Amino acid sequence: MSFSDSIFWVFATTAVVPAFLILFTRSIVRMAFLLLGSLAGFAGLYLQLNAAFLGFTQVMVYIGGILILFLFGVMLTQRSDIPVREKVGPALAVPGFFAGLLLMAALLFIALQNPWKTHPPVPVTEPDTPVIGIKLLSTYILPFEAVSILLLAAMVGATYIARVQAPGAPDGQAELSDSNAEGRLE
Amino acid sequence: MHLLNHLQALLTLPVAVTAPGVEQFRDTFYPAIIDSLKYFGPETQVAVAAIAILLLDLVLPIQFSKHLAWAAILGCLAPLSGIGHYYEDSKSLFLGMLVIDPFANFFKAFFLLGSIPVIMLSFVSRKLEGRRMGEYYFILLSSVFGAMLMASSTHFLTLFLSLEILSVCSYILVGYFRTERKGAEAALKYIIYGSIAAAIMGYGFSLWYGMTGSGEISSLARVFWSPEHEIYTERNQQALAALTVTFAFLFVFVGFAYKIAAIPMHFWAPDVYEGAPTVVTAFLSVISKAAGFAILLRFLGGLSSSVSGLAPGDMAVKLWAGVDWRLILIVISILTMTLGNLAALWQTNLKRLMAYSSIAHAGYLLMGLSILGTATRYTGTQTIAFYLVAYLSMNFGAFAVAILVENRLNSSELEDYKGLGRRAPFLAGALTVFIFSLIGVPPTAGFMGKFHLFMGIIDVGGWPYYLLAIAAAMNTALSAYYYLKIARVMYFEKGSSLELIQSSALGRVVVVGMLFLTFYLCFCADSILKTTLNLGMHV
Amino acid sequence: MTPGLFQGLQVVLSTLGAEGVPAANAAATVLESSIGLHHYLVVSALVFGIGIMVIIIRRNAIVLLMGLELILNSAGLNFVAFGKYVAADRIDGQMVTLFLIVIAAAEASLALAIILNIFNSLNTIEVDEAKSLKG
Repeated sequence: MSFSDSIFWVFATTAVVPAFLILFTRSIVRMAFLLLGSLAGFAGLYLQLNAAFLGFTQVMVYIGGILILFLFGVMLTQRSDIPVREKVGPALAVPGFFAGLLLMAALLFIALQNPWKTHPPVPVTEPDTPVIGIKLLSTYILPFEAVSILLLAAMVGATYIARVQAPGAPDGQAELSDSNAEGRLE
Repeated sequence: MHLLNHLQALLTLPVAVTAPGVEQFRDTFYPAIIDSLKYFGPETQVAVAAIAILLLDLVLPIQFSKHLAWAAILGCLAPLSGIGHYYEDSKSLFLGMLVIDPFANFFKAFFLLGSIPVIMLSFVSRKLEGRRMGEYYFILLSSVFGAMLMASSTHFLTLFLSLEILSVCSYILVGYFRTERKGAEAALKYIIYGSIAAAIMGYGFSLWYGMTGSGEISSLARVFWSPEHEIYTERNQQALAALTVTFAFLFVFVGFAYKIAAIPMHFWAPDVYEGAPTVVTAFLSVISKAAGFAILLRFLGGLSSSVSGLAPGDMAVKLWAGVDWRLILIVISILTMTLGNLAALWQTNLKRLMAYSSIAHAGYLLMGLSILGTATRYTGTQTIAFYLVAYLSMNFGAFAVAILVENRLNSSELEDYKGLGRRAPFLAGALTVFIFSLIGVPPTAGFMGKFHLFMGIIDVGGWPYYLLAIAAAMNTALSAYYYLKIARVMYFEKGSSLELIQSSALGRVVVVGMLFLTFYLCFCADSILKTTLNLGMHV
Repeated sequence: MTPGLFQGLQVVLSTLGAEGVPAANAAATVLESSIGLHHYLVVSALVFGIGIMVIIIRRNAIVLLMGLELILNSAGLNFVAFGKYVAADRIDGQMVTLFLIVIAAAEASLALAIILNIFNSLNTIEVDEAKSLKG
């Protein structure tokens, strides 16, 4: 086994094992850190697949962004006296486990048995980043622009929904009054 | 188009730039993109209108935010001229990401025109009064933008992305009454399960990509089933490939089924329909569902024989063990309509009842999908498009009445509809017509829609289709029971109050418009089906 | 040295303009590697199955979101792997994954906003315990 191959096994283990442990963990903060491990494993696998730009995007956006968001979510929802309960009801746990196992087995069978039309990987001689940049503004210009609408809508929606409302105020009134408090241009 | 020419002159690339790929970009991609922009006008206009509303909302005092509705209506009307101008064009845009064809144009016009009653009803809805409406109309127009992209996407990245735009906007709209318990809970359920369905769909597309090495929706049929590209010659390999395709198909279908509320991804509908603002419920049950069907039609049309160049009915994408995908659709259709109708029998809340009824109607519409690729008098696309317009008229009509009643009574429980026949004769009469249309009683649009769906499946013949026809007929009878229950409550049960219910003029305009459409579609059905709905798809 | 991580890092470093990093084409001659498409597909199938299990078994909204991220990542890995070993242009698979990451970010932020809002008014984030709506 060459060095590069053993690196693959390291990353594959990093991706799968923490994900599996999520199933058996009760603390939600620990779960978030296990997810971090798993996502880092994926970033390594992307590097291994010669997708360097993607690997680092994964680290920055997923691990640096989404996961931090999760941790914030966990902390903010644990703030009050009522703990975030986490229960694995036996009624769901066993069939859920086996359903997932069955699906996993079917996909493993497909992955290993399907006659994929593979070709030997193209050797990479130069960085991808310029190619990705040109692709983003040529072939993928439409998704690139459309995703900006998606992000804008999600941002507007998230700020609208998560806004803290004046306590005790009737709903419609609250909308009017706290918008004034935000220093609205009038 | 003058503006565009100026823009083009402004955007001419500096020649001096040298980097790998720049020549190709300048010589092939750039002209293609600029050319595509011309056809992309309608979507651009909707996006610009949405962002303009968001910006206007910042500078206008909040009391005026309600009147942004008029800007939103303008944003829905303006793109229609562009759609009309290029209606017959059939062309691939943005280097294979999108397509423009009569099919896409019809659905774009459908979404735009269908959003106008939604905006008008939002304007009259009392529950939305005093809220921040700038964000609301921005999100509404963004979701229309997503739906328009959906109808014309031919690459699974565009498909996935546009589906996400529509979904994300719907999640926000459902949770728009964020301080109300039911609305917040509905939004939570909707977003969690919706994202999961979309993620499973993404996995399905990844398997798809692995089979074809291409992102085009029609690539599967082209790569696997056209004679010149036959790539798996051994039987064993064919069987394994078919198994993989089956999984990819089912995973992708999970995402679509969530959007159209078909089994097994229907469970969100009752909670979300009840918890969402009633206007948003109307939007979800018609526009969002129509977008789901539009993309399903394009997706399954890509799988059917037209692409692979074989005789119609002779060949369709076969799944594992030679199962025709249409058989799966038939099973899903029967299950969906039966479950929807059975569950609706016991409902006492009008919104919840309409939710189950909308699940049942998804089942009827799936009948039209199951005849795709077969030779019938009217194609599956025609019958579905017609049924969607009919469904728009009757469902929006029913919801318009529900909103006008809700404005006064602040409730949508059937209990409170007692004696409505006396209290609001016009609204009760209109609701009765819409109910008859939903059952499928002549002379209404619903009758014609159902009639043509039945004609389609009987034209095809064969025991699965006869079984489907019998199931659909029984379901129609079943649905009459709970629909007529609404009429009975309104006319034959005495309410506690006799006070007349006033309704706003704009609201009544919507109801009258939908009444007109309900009757018009019945009497001109044949010509509409033959001429207007002959929707070609770009191949 | 076989291509892979080492080469990926080389590529990154040369992208960043680091001096003295040998050009990656030294490793361009593809040596026999025992790692192929199947290995990545197996990883992805395992993580997908785990994600499904998480979603069925757990009831906490944030944990469900974690299961969702696992599924999206397994799909992304598939895309990149297929891009490298099956598709004509290996960048295309990466592009899809790039967009998947952006979509995941948008969904996660909105979902967490809804969760926060619901927690402020209800003090629970168990999806099935949101009970004023029946089944």
